[in-house]
Amino acid sequence: MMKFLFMMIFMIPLCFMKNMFWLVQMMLFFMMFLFMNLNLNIMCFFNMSYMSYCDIISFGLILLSIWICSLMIMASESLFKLNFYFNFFLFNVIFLLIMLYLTFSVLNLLLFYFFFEASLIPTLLLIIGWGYQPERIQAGMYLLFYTLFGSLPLLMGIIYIFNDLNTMTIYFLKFFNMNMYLLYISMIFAFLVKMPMYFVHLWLPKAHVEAPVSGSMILAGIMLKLGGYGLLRVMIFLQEVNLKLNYIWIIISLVGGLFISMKCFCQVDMKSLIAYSSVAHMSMVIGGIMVMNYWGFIGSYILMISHGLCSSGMFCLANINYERLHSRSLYINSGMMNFMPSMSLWWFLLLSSNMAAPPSLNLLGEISLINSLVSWSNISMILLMMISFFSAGYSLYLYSYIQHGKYFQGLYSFYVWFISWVFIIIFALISFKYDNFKGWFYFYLILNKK
Amino acid sequence: MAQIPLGVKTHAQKVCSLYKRALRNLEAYYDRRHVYRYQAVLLRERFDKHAKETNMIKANELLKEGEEELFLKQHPIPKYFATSPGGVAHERVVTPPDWVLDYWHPLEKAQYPEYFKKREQRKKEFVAMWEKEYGKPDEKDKHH
Amino acid sequence: MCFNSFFFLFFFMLINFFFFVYFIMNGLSVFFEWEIISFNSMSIVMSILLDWMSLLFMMFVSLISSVVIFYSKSYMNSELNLNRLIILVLMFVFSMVLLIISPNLISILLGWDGLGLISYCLVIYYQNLKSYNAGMLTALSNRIGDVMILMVICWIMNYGSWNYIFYFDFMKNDYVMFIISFMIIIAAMTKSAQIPFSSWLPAAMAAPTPVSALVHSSTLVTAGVYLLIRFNYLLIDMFFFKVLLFLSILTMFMSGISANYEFDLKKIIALSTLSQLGLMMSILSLGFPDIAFFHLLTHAMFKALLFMCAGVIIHMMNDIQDIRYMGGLSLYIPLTSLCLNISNLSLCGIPFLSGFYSKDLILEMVSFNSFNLMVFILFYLSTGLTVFYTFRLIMYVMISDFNLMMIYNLYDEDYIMLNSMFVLLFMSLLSGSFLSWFIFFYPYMIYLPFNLKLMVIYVSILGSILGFMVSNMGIYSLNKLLLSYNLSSFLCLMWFMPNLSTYGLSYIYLNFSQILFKNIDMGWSEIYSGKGIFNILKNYSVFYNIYQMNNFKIYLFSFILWFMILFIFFFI
Repeated sequence: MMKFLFMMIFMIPLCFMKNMFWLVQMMLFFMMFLFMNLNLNIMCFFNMSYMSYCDIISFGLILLSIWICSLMIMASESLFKLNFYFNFFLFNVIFLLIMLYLTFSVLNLLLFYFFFEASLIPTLLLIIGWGYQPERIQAGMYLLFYTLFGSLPLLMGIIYIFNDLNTMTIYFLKFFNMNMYLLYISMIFAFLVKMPMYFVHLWLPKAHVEAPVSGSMILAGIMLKLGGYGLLRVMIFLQEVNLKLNYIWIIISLVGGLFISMKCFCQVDMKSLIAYSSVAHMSMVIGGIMVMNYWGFIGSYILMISHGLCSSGMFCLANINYERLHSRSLYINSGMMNFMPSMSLWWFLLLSSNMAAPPSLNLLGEISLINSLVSWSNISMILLMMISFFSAGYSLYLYSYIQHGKYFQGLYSFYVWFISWVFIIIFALISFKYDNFKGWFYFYLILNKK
Repeated sequence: MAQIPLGVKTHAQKVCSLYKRALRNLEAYYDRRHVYRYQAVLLRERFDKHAKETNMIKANELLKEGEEELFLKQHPIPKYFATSPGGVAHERVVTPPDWVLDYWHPLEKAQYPEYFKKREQRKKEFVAMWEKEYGKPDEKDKHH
Repeated sequence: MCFNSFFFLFFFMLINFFFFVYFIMNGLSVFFEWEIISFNSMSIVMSILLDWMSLLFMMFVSLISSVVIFYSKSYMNSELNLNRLIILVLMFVFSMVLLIISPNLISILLGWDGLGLISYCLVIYYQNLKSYNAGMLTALSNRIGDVMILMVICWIMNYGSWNYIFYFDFMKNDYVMFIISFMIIIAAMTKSAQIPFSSWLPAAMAAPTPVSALVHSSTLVTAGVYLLIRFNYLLIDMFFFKVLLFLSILTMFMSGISANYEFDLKKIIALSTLSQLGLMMSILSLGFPDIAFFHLLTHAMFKALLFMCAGVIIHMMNDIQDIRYMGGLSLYIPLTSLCLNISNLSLCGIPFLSGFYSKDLILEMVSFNSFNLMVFILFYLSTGLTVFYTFRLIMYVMISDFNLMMIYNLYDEDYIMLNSMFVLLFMSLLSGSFLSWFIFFYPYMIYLPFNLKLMVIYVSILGSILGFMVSNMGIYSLNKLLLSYNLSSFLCLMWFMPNLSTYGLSYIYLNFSQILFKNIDMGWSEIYSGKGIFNILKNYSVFYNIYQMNNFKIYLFSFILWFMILFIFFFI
């Protein structure tokens, strides 16, 4: 585990050397490959040391973050071509990756909080430094202050736990039972803001839309999952309170998911539509975690991974259109199939994964989530039916609007060649589906039982 | 927005438009040509009865009544030609614009050497014609 | 590309045929299972059930799709992106095969969702506005069915696995089975376009004709019926089956009437498909799944043939689909009109063609068992309506005077299209008898009085006479549509259901979403977080600024006030 940390730290001087853009990206791919070959004893925590560990959730999320960071660099090759501070950009990405890696792999709850907050700074720098429109200042402010507003109580909660239990190790916390309402709210709220629940989701459309493609990819891919990961870790010692109060969060997120799916229909901006669909997916994930079912945890984990891949891919595609047409608006981006027919294949595959069509990983996650939520209460069936139906609606709306029909007549010219890295995302999406999950979750359940 | 008149039509134009639409409506009802011909003659007779009307108020009233009768009797499945708006085959194939040809791969372009040579020449001629008519473009308007 | 896929699918059909004969002669049934994941005692398995029903259906599907791909080599000749269409059709066939062979709800979902999505891609293949709307309507109607099957997956988890075929006899009267049966019936209704969801089928005719021949005549729309045939043992005594009976009879009747008023060739054939689907669903809900399956298969044959002939005619008329432009074509395209006539007569149930075996059997079973008077009347009335619109179509297209509207390209000798049609012609002639000898081991014992037995023939003759009379137009004939304008518009536009389910519904939701977006996301949520706090802080600091800057003495005094307050709180 240390070896990856050192590999990333030593990639930093590499960013500042001349012409090393593609080498950094290659090294990140290499690191992903190395990480996959870890001692994967999939039924327990592995690679434990004094500070860091890995279990199945951390493993998947670290893998996802390395993958998306390497794809981020690939997607921003226009920065390299136009020579727009790409050294500092690379440094930013590697720094962000280090922070994320450490967030997912430390054993100490306070260190987890520290890196959780620290990953905000490179994201903010990405949005403000390399974003496209002047609205990015407000977007950065929203991102920063929403998250900080939620996470300061989290800090108080962690310090209270340390005062009470004299330990901060996540592994040991499952033996305790801290059932206090105020502690519960202060711990949970940060993560609910982070993976946004319905009423506190306003930072997400702004931040996703104003961010450059790399910022959008990492936000949609990983930053939302930090909230989910935090919830999964923190729920362990708050079970009784959760069982009393979780219905609030489930109801807010499910009804909110329904409202958000409907709001997707009146969006004009492509990226804004994809951002709102992220909120809708995450609302189901919150529902799944909060029901405290085994199926809920599985479903939310699978949906987190698949949503990370799928949304990042869609932001890449939206950026491809943006680079060529300099507009994100749907009125201008229509009839693209006449220019880039191969691109319509990628749009279709990613959008059909977004609406949970077989054989994608999203379908598996959604089936598990639907199973767990309906087993919690029959009435959530109606909400889930409508969310699934509307997600098909807006995904097909986006696809058919962008690809089919006549093109905008004001197009002058168009750079038609494109890089085919999106296929890697899809390959990941489908290949992860049925290989890795057999039997991985048994011990997680056993470990988390009291 | 809907009250902005987008053009001025003379009375004769409106009557002729009503007549043509009424004929097309008749065509939808009576498909066999000889039957349609008979009904079209009857319709023409109805229009001809008031053709020499000089009182504009009465003429406008007749026109309005005619429009209303056409609306009330329009065929629920009107007969359109396939490639006209409303028809089945309207805009089925979208042709990509011309500049896509410039982005072909050189190997593909080499399959049609004559055409692409002439194309370059035509592009130069177009630019020359534009500059003759509208003058040279400003430096700051150039495509970056 | 076309030839390769044609040969592959034809070979696949021959394999299926061979195995079908072997399996049905020996009463075999094979079940493969492959466990993919298993958590928490539930296992997601991929299973394949090969019994005679699935093999027979696969054989028919692969036959029709191979013939259609061969046909589209010549039909879609001028299409630049033909490869894309062929690949989409192959993926469609793959999804259909996946649906047919699966006894497990998760693999049914794979096939079902795939069918819906790929039929969406096929319908929006042409780039005009009509296809766009039709595609959206198709995809969203099918999506309702998909969502229902997702919920069934969730509810059937109660029983421990998703292999529904094991649970039928045990769990009949359970509450959970009640909900499952309700949702399965709704899913089947959306796929086979029964009454609340019937607007997508005529609209989906915006797809290219070979696609319509494959998808909308034999495979996609029969997926719902097939699902209910598989689930039949579960649903027999349930209340919802009676609801399904009612709705499917109404569908049959409604589409029969609408087809009589319709003037677009492909829409007439679509409405006739809808009518036959209603027939299949209604005989299924009366409790005879094998007859429904029989009719499904024979219908697939002649309906695909009918669509292909329609394609030849459309090609000839330079893309016009309106029958008011056509007339007297039988003199000029003898071979195509041969195919058209045989498939039309088969649809009507003329004795000893293929449609006769299934349709006549259905009607005799309805007469023999004692059902409702309304059921009886609507069945026979719809049969009469079928003959009515069929003969009207034949009169308009084939027999009437040559309607000299434009230049026709009356070219019948396109041998690729003709050869494909002849394959289906052969099957359409023989498949009725062939299937009735294979599927039914013993014939049904039906004992009817003489007039009731001949009711079918009475109704058919009545229908054909009416069909001839309605389409003969003389100079002095009154136009019946104009005389009863309101009633005729109601009947001709499918009882206004397409308008209700498109314009009626979409406005509500879109308006609501706009209201939500403007009022909540850009309104109240902002006021209670971001913008509101910003305004509060800004206003406080403005106030404080005034307070602080204007009168320095008051500002200093407030310090003393503050000390006094602290003093009071902590020391008293």
